[in-house]
Amino acid sequence: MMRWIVILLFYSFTGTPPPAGGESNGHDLTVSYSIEVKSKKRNTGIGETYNGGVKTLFASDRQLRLRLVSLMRMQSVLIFPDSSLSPKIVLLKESGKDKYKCYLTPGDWKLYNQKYEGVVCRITGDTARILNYVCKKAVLTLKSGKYITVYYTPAIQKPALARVEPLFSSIPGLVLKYEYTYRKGTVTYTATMVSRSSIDPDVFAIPGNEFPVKKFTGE
Amino acid sequence: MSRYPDIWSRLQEYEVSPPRELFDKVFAQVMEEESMVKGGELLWKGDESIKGSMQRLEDHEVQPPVALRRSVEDELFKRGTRKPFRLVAIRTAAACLILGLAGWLIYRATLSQKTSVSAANKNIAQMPAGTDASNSLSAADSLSKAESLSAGDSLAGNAIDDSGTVVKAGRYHQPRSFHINGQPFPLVDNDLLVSWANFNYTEMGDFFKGAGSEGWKIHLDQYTNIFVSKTMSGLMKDMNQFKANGNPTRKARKSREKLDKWKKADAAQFDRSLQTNPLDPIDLAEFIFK
Repeated sequence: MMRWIVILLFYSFTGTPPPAGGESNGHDLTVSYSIEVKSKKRNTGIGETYNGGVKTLFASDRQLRLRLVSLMRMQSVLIFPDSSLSPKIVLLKESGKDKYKCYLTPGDWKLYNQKYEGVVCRITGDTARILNYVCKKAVLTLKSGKYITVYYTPAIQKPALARVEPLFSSIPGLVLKYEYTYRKGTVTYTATMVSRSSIDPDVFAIPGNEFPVKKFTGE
Repeated sequence: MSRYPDIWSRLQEYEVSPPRELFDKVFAQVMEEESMVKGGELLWKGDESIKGSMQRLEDHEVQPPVALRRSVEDELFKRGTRKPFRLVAIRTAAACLILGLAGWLIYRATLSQKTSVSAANKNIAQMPAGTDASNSLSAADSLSKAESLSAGDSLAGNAIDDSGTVVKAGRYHQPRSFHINGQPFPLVDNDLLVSWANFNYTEMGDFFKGAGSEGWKIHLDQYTNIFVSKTMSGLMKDMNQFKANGNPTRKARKSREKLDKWKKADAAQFDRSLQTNPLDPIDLAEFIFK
């Protein structure tokens, strides 16, 4: 009798551990990137309000969120399950007096990221070490001729991430650094933290009525 | 029985004498039975006769049935039931424990299902047929306007499932405060710049005394620490310079105007048509360096 009680107790406490912050469940992934805005000018004007900001990627089993926090604005993209091949996408402007949320269909999302269709990925022989991961350098060239330099680690594979950042859909690993140069300035995103800890479910929550719905026109 | 020899002997200590009048009454009745009436005279058989009767009664000993004796002993000393009682108690405790565990496991299972089962429909109605907020965005985020905390922050957040229904995904939270170099400040409308613009001299005086000139670190939540560049922190300092009468200095007004202009440009770029995405590195860089 006592043996059965002990077994029951063991399974009830270890069989289904509750999700708790800080514990790893092997599926969740959080990556934080710091944003650096550089210019040949003395200051970057409005760019200063984004300089030093953070872009955070949250990936759980079924949900994805990309969140930008800067002095100027806080904004997120959330992507939810796609078992029926129809992911649901929500754009969320979280800061300011005029917050809003915008629901996108898969078609809208495709239109939203149209410029990344047909991106060509060229992996160079260069490597860099970022957060102790050995990263390979790649250059992504868009149809328009624009290009982005990327450093990625093949050690972390999460194909679902391509859904929230279609730009990186051709990268065979996790991007830990990328930069884009336009005219006389460069914006660089560098990973400052990679975590496998369980993500708080509140991270994937959509706000209620306090966020009015904004319609996506796609024009 | 052999285990309790002294109990029977101790029973003798509980001997109780009958009341005196009862004894007299019984004695008189016995005498009456034993007496003979001869010629109107009451003749007594005498003490010897009584003693003989008592002696005979004393010698008449009857053993109780064995089964009866045993049941009396069991009742008195619980000898036979002691072990079964312990077993029953253990079984009862184990059953209670198993029931409790089963209940807890069912509760846990139900709770986890709740997170994946589609539930409320209230957000579905908001999805396609929502109001177009673009009109209100034209009046967006003016730093010179007084801002207030938006209501309804405690509404439950939901996620949409692939079937179009709503999945409980937790509760949406907006931070209520942020820390600059460890010092807390209230967060207005979830907007760091607007919050900064709303501070008054008394709130900022102490901060500027302790703040360095090499940029600041802002802590928002467990996932978010942002850095304010030296240039930007200088601008924010300028924005909070006040005259002796409490009014902002000319430099402060100019700085506020500049930030206000940036706010409007940012809203025009990313909020009006939703054609560009501030999370996209190309869109952001081309907006900053255009």
